[in-house]
Amino acid sequence: VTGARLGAAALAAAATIAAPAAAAAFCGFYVSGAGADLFNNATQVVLMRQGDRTVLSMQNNYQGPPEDFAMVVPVPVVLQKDNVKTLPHEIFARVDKLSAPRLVEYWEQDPCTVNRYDREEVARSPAVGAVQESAPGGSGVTIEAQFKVGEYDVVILSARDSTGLDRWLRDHQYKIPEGAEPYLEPYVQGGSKFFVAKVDIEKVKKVDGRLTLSPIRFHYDSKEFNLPIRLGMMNSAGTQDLIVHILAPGQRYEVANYPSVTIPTNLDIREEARARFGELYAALFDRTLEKNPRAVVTEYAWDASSCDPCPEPPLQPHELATLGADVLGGAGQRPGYGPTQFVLTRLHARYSKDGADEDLIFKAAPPIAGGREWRGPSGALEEGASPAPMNNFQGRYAIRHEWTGPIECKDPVRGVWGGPPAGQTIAEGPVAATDLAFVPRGKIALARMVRSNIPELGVTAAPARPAGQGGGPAAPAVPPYKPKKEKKGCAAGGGAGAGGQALVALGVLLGLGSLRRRPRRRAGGGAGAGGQALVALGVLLGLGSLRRRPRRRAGRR
Amino acid sequence: MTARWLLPGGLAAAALAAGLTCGPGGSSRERGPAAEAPPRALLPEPGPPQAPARSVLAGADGTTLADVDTCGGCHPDVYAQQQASSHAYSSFSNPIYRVAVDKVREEAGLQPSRMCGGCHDIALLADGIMDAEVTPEDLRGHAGVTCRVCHGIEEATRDGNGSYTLSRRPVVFPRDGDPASLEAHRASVKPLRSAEMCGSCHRSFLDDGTGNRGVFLTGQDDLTGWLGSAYNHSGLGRIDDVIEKQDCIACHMPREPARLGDPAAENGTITSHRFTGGHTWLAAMLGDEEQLARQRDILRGALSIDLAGAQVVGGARHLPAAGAPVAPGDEILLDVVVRNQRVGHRFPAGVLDAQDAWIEVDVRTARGRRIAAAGAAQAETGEDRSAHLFRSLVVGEDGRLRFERETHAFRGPVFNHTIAPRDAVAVRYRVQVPASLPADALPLEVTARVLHRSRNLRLQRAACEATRTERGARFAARARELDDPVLDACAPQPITALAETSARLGGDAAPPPPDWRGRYEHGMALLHGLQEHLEDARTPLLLALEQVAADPAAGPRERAAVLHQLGRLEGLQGRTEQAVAWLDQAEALMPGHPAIAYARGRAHARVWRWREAAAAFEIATRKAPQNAAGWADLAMALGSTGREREALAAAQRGLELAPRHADCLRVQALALRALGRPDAEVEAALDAYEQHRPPDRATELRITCAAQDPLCALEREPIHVHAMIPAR
Repeated sequence: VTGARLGAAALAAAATIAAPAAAAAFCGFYVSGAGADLFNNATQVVLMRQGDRTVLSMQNNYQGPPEDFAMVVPVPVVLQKDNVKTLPHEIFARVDKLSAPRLVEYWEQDPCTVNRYDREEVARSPAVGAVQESAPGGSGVTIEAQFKVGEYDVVILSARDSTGLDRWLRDHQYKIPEGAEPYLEPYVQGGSKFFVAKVDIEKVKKVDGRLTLSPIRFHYDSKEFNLPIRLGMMNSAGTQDLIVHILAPGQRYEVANYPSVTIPTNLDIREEARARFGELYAALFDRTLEKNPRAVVTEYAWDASSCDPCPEPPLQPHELATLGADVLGGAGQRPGYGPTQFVLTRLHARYSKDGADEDLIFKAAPPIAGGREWRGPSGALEEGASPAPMNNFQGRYAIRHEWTGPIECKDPVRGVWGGPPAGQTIAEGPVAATDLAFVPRGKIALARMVRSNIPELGVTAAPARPAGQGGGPAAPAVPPYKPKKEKKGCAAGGGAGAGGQALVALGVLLGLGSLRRRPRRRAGGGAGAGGQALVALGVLLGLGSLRRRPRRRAGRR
Repeated sequence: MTARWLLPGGLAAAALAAGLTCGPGGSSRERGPAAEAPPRALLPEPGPPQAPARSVLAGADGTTLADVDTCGGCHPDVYAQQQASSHAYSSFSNPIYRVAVDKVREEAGLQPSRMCGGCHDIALLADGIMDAEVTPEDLRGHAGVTCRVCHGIEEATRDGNGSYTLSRRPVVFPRDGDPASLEAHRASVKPLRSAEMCGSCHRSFLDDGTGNRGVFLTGQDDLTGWLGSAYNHSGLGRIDDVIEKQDCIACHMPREPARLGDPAAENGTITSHRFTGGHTWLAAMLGDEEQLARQRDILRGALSIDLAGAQVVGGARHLPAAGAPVAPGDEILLDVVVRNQRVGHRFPAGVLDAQDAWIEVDVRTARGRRIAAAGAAQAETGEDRSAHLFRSLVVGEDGRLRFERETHAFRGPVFNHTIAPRDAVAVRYRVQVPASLPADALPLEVTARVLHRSRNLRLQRAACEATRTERGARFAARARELDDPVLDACAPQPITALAETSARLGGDAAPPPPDWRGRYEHGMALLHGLQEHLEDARTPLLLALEQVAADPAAGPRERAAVLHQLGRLEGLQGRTEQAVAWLDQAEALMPGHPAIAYARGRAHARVWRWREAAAAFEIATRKAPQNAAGWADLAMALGSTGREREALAAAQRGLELAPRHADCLRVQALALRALGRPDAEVEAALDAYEQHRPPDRATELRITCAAQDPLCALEREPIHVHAMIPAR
């Protein structure tokens, strides 16, 4: 049993009595990180914070002309050489999947093989029992301290060069887009320094067919704890999508200067939503924003060393070190903090170019719980988010298969949920939604996809339709559930990427000359269809005038 | 040469005024040479001949400067007072100073020690002896800051490190029965009596010249704190009580009776030359009970202390701590708030890294049995890590804390836990109430007090050692020859209680009556916390608002003070609309107060509304014109909107007040470049900025220190938690 399936752990004690086979198989039916798949092409930021130290890691995708470019990132101080590091892509995928909204499936257990005690135990069992996983086989998560690594050639501008950023960029054949000055000037006036990560486009890896820059990490000390997003507006073409993860000892975070809401959670959804989970979640998210304009949505807040259910094993000490624990130094007033005490908060913002003119300013928030398979004495599943002694909140959505077999005992016990019936150990993929930032929006009727009402959003679940009629006007036929026998383990949804690709960057893409004059190549990263996300913390700079710089790879293209 | 400017500040001020009233006010960036040439750069000049001391001694003779007896012959009161003051013992003869300066000379070289000489050993500096061996027998090394120094200064700037110019004029001595000669005497020794004169030595910095390779660090700086304070009517941090304007002379040189018939007396009093401050150790070493009593008088009540909150971990906060429900087995967080009530500069002052003022907290049962304490061992050991100390600390190249005034080894600051004038700070304590405590042990009695000792014990030990060396013995012998006191650095330092409070928790302890000031100060103190914890300030401030409204003794000023802090809170959190709403309410009660405008500006700047920010900062700086931080903020806001000429003028106003202010130097350079000044001038301005900006390695040094020293790890967070030590 992997710790990732610890949801099963709570159930397992009961299930082993009545249905041991199912208990072992239950874990396999988590839909691994909807968010991970939804947003794996969206901007990802992981902030680690302790005391006044901030470690900022970011992963950007690139969409644009297939030319070298550079990413410029403002920082409060002139970084030392070994303060800027590149990280492996896997670490972001790990954090993303661990915190992503998740789809789980439950089967009602044979009402005649469970007893009331089991049911009561299940009802009482808060899924807070962290299961500490062993390290996932030395995944080789390492930090590269070189300044020329992978696709990057990192240049740290001196304080002097930083005061003349525009000149420096021009001198290095980069072109600043028109209208950029009002965005950049306050950084310069305020004394920000900059580092520039030059990107060799040919070395950029494709992840799921898209150009994804290697994650980059740096750290600094400041009383302030903000995420500068304004620079990202420079190249914004439309709606932007940003996911921020914050890891901090014992502390959850919210945004102080935007409304904060938690995503509606613990919703039962219809089986036909399995194949469209991404769309469903996007619809839920959009509806949440509709009801709470400008809000930054909390999707996850949980001890980073545990999860329930676990689409991924919890973060391991070496991974926390990768994300910044190695440079936190002393543990402030709480010396001895171990990795198990980091709380992982996931915040999700989506906004138009004019909708977020302010940086995100974070504030500490009290612990909350929600989204667990935790039923009260009445048997009702817990709803929403509520204050709690420790952080146990997640976005969790369930497909429940009611018992359809014979009920021949005198005193059946209903409503005990676990793994699939014996012999149907694992589903062949509920297909995980991927690229949620880019899934078609507005084509799903939320009310038709959920079985639970969502009163806070004013959504009332529609009566079930006959199979095959889908959940919305453009819904494809729902693939029938296909039990697959004799396969054990976790099914990871291999998501089909939605076509429209985003320009997702923690930087601002500055065109090489005029981007408009150049044909857009869509190979790999592909030009995005529709208003897509540019989330920028820095500036992605296109190489300067092509006329002034030889096109090194012209012949190869 | 002192630090001088290429253009008088007045012109810069005029340019600003013109710019603000006549400027375009838009966001279009000014480029290229304007029709009217912009002011040129204001830059600290290269070091004068005595660099790194900024003193211009104009050929003064050290032996003459060292002469105090001549002055004392006619001015017995002034002489007696001066001999009781720290100024008289600033030289090598003082082992506290000697141990530090000798180390600088030994490890960094003789020339860097000139900086020390500019304010401690002017007679030696004048004769070039700071560049040579200073023997114990040299009279000049026993002189201190003499009458001829202070009364010979004809000009002083705000630069610091001894940025004064000694007059070349000879002292005219009066002749009996010759009123003209008396007038001439008075004219020849007339002191400047300006804050700049005090500030020329009570503001200091370290840089390459002082042996601090590659860094610029601010040292003691009593001038900045006072300039931007309510005592100089330039405070921007709060709406304060009505405070009479006071400068260094008002506090440290009050008039006192002339008991010995000093001819300088007027109506039987003279301006005190005791320079009473916090150096109780020196007074004790001198055996001067009167001076010690005066020092203690000025210290007592300078601060206030309050047990502002108590919270059972995981439970609700109780404000104030008194009356909080507490039970055996609880783990409690106590908030202690200390406010600087009447010190016109930061508390403590002087060399902040050597200070030893701390909080002692004691928790006892109802029967008086101690269950936990923090800071209780500090008096004896000086090393009590549970004590919160009011001081700053710096690290060396290796990231290790430096406690013994090894100034040349300083490379980066770790924290500064001193308190600005009229400001408040919060310190948190964690205490475990034993589960075994019987019920009748409640209520608990918590006592907190601030204790003060002039210097930390590490420095004292080093100074003590210095008196036991052969060199130390020779200095002592020479002092005896001169009939000077021999300073015994090994004798215990006096400890003075500055403030004390107590509260009862749990049991039948009743909450005290409402006290809006306590809640207000608590909220104000919590605004110094990390960004993410600022919200902690909301509850005490809202409570203060409620209580101030119900307090018949409180008027519009008091209500506005609370509203203003609420506005600050919202502004710091980027909640601009809410900030403006609170500040509008404050404005209605206290129209035109500069602190309101400043908070408004900060709130707008926080979210990059630069035009609104600039307008607000302009009001703030007009009404609090001696606050350099205000000018820096205005300059950055103007620069961000492309109003370069006005930005330049604002930056230069800031530089007049703080000539090495990194933000002002940067904005100045940017503006000069944007305005098309010649490249050489722009480059010089950029050089000045680069030389004075915070050291790049400071971040790494802090983390290195934090990794190896729990003190660093704990105290680099502004509001940190001290674990109280359970009683055995």
